[in-house]
This record gives sequence, C-alpha cells and structure tokens, in this order.
Amino acid sequence: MDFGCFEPVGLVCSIEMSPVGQWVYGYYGNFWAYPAILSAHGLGMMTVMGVVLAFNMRVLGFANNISISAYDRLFMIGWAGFILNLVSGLLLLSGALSTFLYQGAFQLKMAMILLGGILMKVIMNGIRSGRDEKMTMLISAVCLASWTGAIITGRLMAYL
Amino acid sequence: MEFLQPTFDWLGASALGVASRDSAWIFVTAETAHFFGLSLLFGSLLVIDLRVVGFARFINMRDAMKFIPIAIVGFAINLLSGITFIASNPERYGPNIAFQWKMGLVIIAGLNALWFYFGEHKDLVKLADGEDAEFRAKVIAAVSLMIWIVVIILGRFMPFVE
Repeated sequence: MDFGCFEPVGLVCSIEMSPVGQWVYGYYGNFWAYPAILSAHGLGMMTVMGVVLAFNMRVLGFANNISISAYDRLFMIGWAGFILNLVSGLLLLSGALSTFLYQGAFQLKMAMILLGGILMKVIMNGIRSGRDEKMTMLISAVCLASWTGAIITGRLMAYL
Repeated sequence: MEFLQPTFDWLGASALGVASRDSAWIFVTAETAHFFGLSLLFGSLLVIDLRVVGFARFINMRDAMKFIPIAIVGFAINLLSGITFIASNPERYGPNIAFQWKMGLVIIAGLNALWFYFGEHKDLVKLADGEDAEFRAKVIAAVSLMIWIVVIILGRFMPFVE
C-alpha cells in the first residue's frame, strides 16, 4: 500500500513506512496514538518553556530574591520535559519524516531549540563565573527569543 | 454547553469572528499565543506549586508569589486567544466533550487558586527558604499542577474527539 512517501532518498521513506512511523499516525487503527503523543509533546513543551521563562525572567531581574541555585530542582523538571519532547518529537517525526525533514519551519525550530539550549548553559556558566551582568542579560533575552521562536515555528509546521 | 451557545454565536458574528475567518493568520497567531500564554501560566505554577509542595523548597516563597501576576497574564492571553478560537468557529467548541471537560477543570483550577490566594497565601509567605509548607497547602498546590496537566492534555485532544 502506498502512503504517499515520494522522497527519493530510500532511508527517509523506509523510516516513514516503518512499523513505528505507521503506528504513530494510527495506520493500524490505533487512532489514540497520535493525539496521545501530541498531548505528551504539548505537556513537555509547556514544561520546558515554563522553566525557561521562569529562569530567564529571574536572570533579567524579576523575583531576584530567589537564589539561582534554588532553580536546580526546576531544571530537573525542565529536563524531564525536554526528554519527553525528544521522545515524542522523534515519534511524531518518524511517521512524517519526508514532510518535515525538508521543511523550513522544522529546520528553523531545531536550530532555535539548539541555540536556546546552548544559551541556557552559557547563561548558567556566566552566572557561576561572575560574568558581566549586562552581557548575561543580553544573552538571556536572545535565549528567550530563541525559545519563543521555537514555539512559533513549531506551530507553523502544521500549516506550511 | 448549550446555555453558552447564544454567546458563542454572538462571538462568531462579531467583527473578531468575521476577521478570524477572513484572515489566514489570525487563527494560527492565536494558537501560538495560546501555547505561549500557557507556558507563562504553567511555568509560573511550576515555580509556586513546586515550592509549596516541597520539591523545590529552597525557592524563596515570597518571591515565588511574584509569579502570580505572571500566571494571570498568561491566563489572560489564553482567555483572549481562546475567545478568538470560538469566534472563528462558534459551532465547533460547545459540543466537544474535551472542551467541556477542559472548561470544567479550568473553573475548578480557578476556585482552587482563589482558595490558595485567600486561604493560604498569608501563612505561606512567612516560610523561610527550605521550610516545609502546611499539608493542606501542599495538597492545594499538587491539585493545581495536576489539573493544569490534564487541561493541557484535554486541549490537545479537542480536535480528535469532534
């Protein structure tokens, strides 16, 4: 049966046509799988973005009686959300690989998550090593913009 | 939710409803705003509720409470974007079972938040960093997180149970 994968590169199509890829999009009659994975992806996103927002607002000067080290526990939750989204994201990707792999919105989203993630680490290192506060705040603003961009491009993936 | 249908129909006929159907961008922008608003709300609740529950109990309680206005901003963004969704298609949401449960839970979450603010806030802000909150306050905070997690899941299920 042809599900419409016209990708010339064989590997991409074989992943999309694999049992996992087919299962994700409910081709076995398991219609609950796709909304369930999407829900997990939504929950993980709110968690990651929530922690990113709360942390960067603190870095930018809001609620600054909260010690930076007190955020350690929130970062654990943020990482849990990130892993949830990595797994659910890979599943969602597997069933529509030929659509998303070459889509500008998806590529931009991946780049923004990578940049946003690296900047979180850069900000934390800067705070620990006592880097110039203005510089850290600037990086924090770029970090927030990058994660916000990831949400925007993620939503656009469904439309483009 | 038939009692709300006249309101939904009025929204659908309003300028916002007409504009959201004419423009290709209003709906998707409202969706993006809805995600961002929920991140603000959920992130703020993670700070407050995880502090109260005790998981992140070294967060300064008084400062954690500063996230309450941020949560309200997030909720306001989602109320407005949510109204935009209904205006764009007033027939779609009322009969949707996931929407009905979601709205019910949002109201319960609101009542829970009011209890938190008027019943527990005063005592909680006296907590020193690392100090445990009362059991009752912990229950309220845990319930808050659980309700919003289910709200997020129900929201994502809405297009699939039509």
